[in-house]
Amino acid sequence: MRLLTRYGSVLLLAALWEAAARLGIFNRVLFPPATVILVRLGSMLWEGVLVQEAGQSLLRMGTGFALALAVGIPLGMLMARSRKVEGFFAPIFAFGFPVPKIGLIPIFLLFLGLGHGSKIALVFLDALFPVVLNAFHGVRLVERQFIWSARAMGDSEAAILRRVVWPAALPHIFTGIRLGLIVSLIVVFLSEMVSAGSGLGHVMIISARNFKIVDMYTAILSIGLLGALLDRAVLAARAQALQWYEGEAAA
Amino acid sequence: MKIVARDVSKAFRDPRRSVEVSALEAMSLSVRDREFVSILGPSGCGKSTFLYIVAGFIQASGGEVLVDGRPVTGPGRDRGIVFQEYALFPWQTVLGNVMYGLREGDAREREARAREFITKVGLGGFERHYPRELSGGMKQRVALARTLAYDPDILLMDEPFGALDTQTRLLMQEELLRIWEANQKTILFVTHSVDEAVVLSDRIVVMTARPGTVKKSVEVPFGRPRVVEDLMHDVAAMDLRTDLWHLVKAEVLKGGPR
Amino acid sequence: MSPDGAKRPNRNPRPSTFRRDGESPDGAKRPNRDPRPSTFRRHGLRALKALARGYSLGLLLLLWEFVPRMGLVAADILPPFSTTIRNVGTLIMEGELQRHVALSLVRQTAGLVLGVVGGVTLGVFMAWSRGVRAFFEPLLMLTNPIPKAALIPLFMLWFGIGTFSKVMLIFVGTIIPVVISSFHAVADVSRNHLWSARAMGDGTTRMLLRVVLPAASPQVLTGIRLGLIVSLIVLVGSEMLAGREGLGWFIAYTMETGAYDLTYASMLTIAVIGFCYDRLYLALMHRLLAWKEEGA
Repeated sequence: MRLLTRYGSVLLLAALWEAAARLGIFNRVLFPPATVILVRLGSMLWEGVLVQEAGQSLLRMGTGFALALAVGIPLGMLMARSRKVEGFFAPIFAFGFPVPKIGLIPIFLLFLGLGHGSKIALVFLDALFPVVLNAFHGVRLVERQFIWSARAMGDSEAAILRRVVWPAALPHIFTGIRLGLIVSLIVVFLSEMVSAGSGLGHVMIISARNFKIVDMYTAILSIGLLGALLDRAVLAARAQALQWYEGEAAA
Repeated sequence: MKIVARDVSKAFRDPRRSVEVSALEAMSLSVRDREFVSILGPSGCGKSTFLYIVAGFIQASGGEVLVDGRPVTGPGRDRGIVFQEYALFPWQTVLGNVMYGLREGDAREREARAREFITKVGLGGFERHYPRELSGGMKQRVALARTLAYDPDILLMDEPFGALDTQTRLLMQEELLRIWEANQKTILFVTHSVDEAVVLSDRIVVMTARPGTVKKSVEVPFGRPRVVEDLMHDVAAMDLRTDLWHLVKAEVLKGGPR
Repeated sequence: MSPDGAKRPNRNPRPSTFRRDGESPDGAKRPNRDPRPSTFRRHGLRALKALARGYSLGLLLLLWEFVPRMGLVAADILPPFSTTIRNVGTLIMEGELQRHVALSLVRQTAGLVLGVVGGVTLGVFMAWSRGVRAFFEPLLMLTNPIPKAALIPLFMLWFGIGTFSKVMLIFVGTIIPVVISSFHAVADVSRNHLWSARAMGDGTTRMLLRVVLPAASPQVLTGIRLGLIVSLIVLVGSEMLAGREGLGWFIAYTMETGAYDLTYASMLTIAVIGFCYDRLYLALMHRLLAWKEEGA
């Protein structure tokens, strides 16, 4: 019941859609009834087609994203702690951050082919920038007095990094992770639409081009659900890791 | 002498105007073992800078600081620090914060010691709370407990009660007196409050406006243990306050509008 | 452990290479930063530093130039940097490039402006009206995490493959983060500020323009930046997928026809455009948020 009132507007729109499609107010081909899409989603899930395609997309996205975290977080923190490292990488990150990396997809296709490699590389590259920049700022913005306090209590530099800098920078690092996830998802589906033989993005564009409209809506719905699910997961991990911070922000 | 500072100077570079600004000039000061010395001066006179140099967080441009006869080259566990902004780690509970600096013994012993000091500053029962759940005065008690718990010889206090309201401030001053009288540490206490300096210290060092240096060193003639309220109405204390107030006011006016 | 923190960048007020959204470039928000200069900043080293700072980018360009020249990669798959620059020049002379660039820019700018104006308006209404909020909040919560790439085929179907469809994509990609950030920002505006304005006799419109929007601008700008980044990606992607014009299409077209030298020229162009958009944004932010630095 609470869910009903909370998502009242969404349910209302869905109901309107359904009614309009059924009553023929909308073009039934372009706007199939919501229930038809849901039924197709169910059957495609049951047949396992959707799971397989989603698996392809997730594999590409997950690998690229994980690589971006593994490289980006240490690199961003290192850039904040070492002037030399920052001096070396700063121009690349300052210049490359706003560049829509999807435009570089031809390079990846030429050098890495049409398979997983090119998509993973593109996801990696696109997710890397927000991850690095937020880790960098997170470490830069650690209160000087936190570090001083730890130093006064005799902590070594390594201990300060682990016990003070890391927890203090974690809120920013999570911001980077979330932004990286948003961008990764867009990029993986886009790159599958532009060039791939598999994946949800591919299913979606092929269905659209062949006017299999219900299939297209089903793919869009699954992509939306997948995105929402992963976003929730990151938010949950964040809430878990940053209990002290969430409360502080609310206080 | 516990702390000896000789001709300490510090120049900053103003990043906006690209000029050197002298914050401290030929600041010399000696503190006896177990002495409570307050550094009193107008804001911006470099008193916190001096404290940070003694703590080893920043390096002097000239002169030297000796602690127990050895030159200061960096921070050390012999000098504990308490900041005005508490600097409690927000991701740690009260207990976690106080345990942070403890090294000796196993986890259980360290926890017992931390609890002991939390109780000592009157926060028993708040061990599992996060800093955000505490008032300013409670946070400063935790900061004090964190520093006292690992038992440094010297306490460096940078306007520790400056952010508190008047009542809390008086309570904390009494608390600090009580703790200091029981533990007998050497304290270097930075403040811009004349009343606070008079109530707490054995000796008050008045600083000049920027570039800061010692203007006058004044012995506080009142015995121990002290009661804050008694000193508020004591005639001799009032006279001392008036004298100090004139000294500081002259420096504030010299510093010009800021 | 060195007592001298000169090499610890986190204690230095040096302007960061990357500015954080909504924050002054020299960390003015944090007054307790160490104001000490770094040794690196001394006058004689200034020029050297400027050179040193650019060298990773320079290195990249050098690699781009010499890897194909030395035959490590075939020049028709990776034409050298200088050749690519020349190709950009040729494309401009022929009038081909600017046509696509102009179209992409028009689409991007139109969608962005619509998204920002609509987003801020809706955000304000949501913050001030319970009913509006109750209607739109669940919609936003549901649509926000949808990867915007999924909208491309949908909008192709609904709005065709022309400019309108692309503008709508960018509009949606921008409006969602802008609504969310401006809603939160407006709801967070301090009550005392609002009351002060009321006490001085401000009406609602005046208060909105003079108090609410300025106070909310840092957060709103952060939302705009996210929208800008996402919508640029989606624009290029959608142009690649459908249509016969635009920079994204040109990239895909030259790639498909094997004119790789032109592909590289257009990719370079798109990189520069993204960069310029960002600089424009930063300049705007700097101007709008100049007041924030005065607190330092």
